Amino acid sequence: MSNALEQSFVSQLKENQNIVHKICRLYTQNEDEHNDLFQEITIQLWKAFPKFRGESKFSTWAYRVALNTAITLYRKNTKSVNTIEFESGRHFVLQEEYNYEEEEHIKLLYKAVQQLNDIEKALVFMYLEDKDYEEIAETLGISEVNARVKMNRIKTKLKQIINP
Amino acid sequence: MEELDLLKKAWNQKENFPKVTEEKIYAMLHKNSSSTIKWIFLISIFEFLFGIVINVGMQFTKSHEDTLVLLKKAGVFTFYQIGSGIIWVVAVYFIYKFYVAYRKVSTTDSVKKLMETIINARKTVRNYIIFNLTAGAIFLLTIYTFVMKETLAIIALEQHKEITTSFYLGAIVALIIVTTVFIGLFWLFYRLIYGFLLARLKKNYKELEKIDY
Repeated sequence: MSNALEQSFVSQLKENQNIVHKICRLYTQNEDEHNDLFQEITIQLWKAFPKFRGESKFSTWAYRVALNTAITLYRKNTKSVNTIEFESGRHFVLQEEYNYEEEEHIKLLYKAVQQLNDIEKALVFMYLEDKDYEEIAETLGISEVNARVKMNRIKTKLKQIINP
Repeated sequence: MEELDLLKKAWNQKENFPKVTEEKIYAMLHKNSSSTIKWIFLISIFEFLFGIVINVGMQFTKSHEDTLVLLKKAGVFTFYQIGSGIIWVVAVYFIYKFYVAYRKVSTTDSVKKLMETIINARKTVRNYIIFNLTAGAIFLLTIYTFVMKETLAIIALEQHKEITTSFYLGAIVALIIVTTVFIGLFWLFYRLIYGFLLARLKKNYKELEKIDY
């Protein structure tokens, strides 16, 4: 593939890398896995890039490939599947200073989201990214009504995890 | 405030993810993927090759020549030739079908569609294996039954003993049991690899189906 294409891809991914990081944070348990998934997503994005026509924004196109990679293609490093290190993981620390209580609450929320299954995490991710239900449904391949119902169930489930 | 909305507020704050430089991204582009689909593809190719190597290999062995003589004697040579031909044609058909199914795998499809295309490609290889095992079993059983009959007749002639129908039946049952056990063990082993590779994909696919149920 041509250098120009490679350069265009690299610079666009560099600009939009946070979207990949956000997905990695949801689907991995520690920094090693995070980097591993980031690399796999990069490879899959690069493979799909020649078909990217620029009809949508790079970030819109990329999050779908990234989600597909995280849910379907990524093979977790079996050595670290069960190690839960997200509290100590640097990639969970927010840069802006919060008051202590709120920061703790958000950590708790991340912890709760980590306990959801792969599909539920995808719904949460798109919800947090402000995608509408039409797009959520289309990305997952389910109906819009059911996407709404599922999202409400996830909200209830999260409440139950946080306040058992 | 709802839990998720609180999280949304934090989600859009500037976060200190490790910044991946352009150099690092360049390096990543040239690394090998370790994705499920790549493993599935490699294993499928291996399965096709395995079938082909065994077929070709068998045709070059010394014992194969002896077998041909025996087959001709037993009167199943034509059946053997037609059977081998059919197995080859079907193998080519499955390889083509797998290639078409694999080409359809696209990460820009919806999650469900992507899973379906992967499962579909994988099913093609599974069907190829089922066909091979079934055809192999029928093929071997038929040929061995005839060859056994021929061999036993020769032994009977040499030793001046008569072979009873119950002996024949016993020998055929023994053949069927050995073939079934052999194929059963192969299938079990096959299911283990297949199950291991696709466990996560299938779990997630079921989860998606449950939402739309």
